[in-house]
Amino acid sequence: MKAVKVFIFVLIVGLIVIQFVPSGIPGNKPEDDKNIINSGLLSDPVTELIRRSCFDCHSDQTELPWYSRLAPVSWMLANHINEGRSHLNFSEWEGYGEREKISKLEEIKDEAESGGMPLKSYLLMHPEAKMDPEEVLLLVAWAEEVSIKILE
Amino acid sequence: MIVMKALFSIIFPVAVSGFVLLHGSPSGRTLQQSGSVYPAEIKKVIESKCYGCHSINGKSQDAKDALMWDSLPGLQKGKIIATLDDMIEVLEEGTMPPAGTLKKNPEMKLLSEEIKIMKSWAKTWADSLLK
Repeated sequence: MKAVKVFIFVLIVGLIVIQFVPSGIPGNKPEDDKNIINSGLLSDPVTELIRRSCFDCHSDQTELPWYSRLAPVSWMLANHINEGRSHLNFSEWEGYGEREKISKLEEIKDEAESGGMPLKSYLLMHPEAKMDPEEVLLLVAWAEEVSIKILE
Repeated sequence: MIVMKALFSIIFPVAVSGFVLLHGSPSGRTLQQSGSVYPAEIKKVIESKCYGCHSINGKSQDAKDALMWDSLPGLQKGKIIATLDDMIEVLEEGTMPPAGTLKKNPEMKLLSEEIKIMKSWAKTWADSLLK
């Protein structure tokens, strides 16, 4: 019994202590010209879709939920957002070279079709971000269209 | 005497030709049809450092999904460019061949000269497709 009490005590102290460790969650930036939303490439439905399903990790306009302040969950969030932005950041779209754009569009198609994105762990807390089959088709068709435009 | 003559003029050439015909190129270690698309110096690098995994005989499905040297030239433009972009990235980051592979086969490590020519060739090809 004593062991259990000690364990719980250590756990609680531990949880309090880790709240003082910086989470590493990156800051947001206001939307500007480099954002894909302002590029004229997106129809309204596609804009709405990527805001809903992608932007939290793949843009500089992340909507942070209340639990983003709680360690260790905040560390996982920081990892997702940093990784997400480094692989693809819609807010930086116009800054990408053509080769990079084509490459990222192919990846968007692959990840959407395979269901690898949005991340399962993200969908647990954000079920509204799930793309239904029609939305996947919409996104893939859009990515294909933009790719063709660049290659012309 | 006649036996010796026979040996050298008939049996020996037949044996050698037979050996060459049966052996051919080391099975699965050389580029197939597509090989003619790649410049000789690039082919050399591919066959010695990449083809083992990035071909039909490769053991890793991930590797095969990422790149198949034999089918690369036949892919859609966008797919080729995306693959080349990934290739340039792994060359710059030094992550290919993978560390695990290099532990067992240290001779497969890409030399800096090889990295240079692969990067330059990939960039040139991607750029030509973007025009």
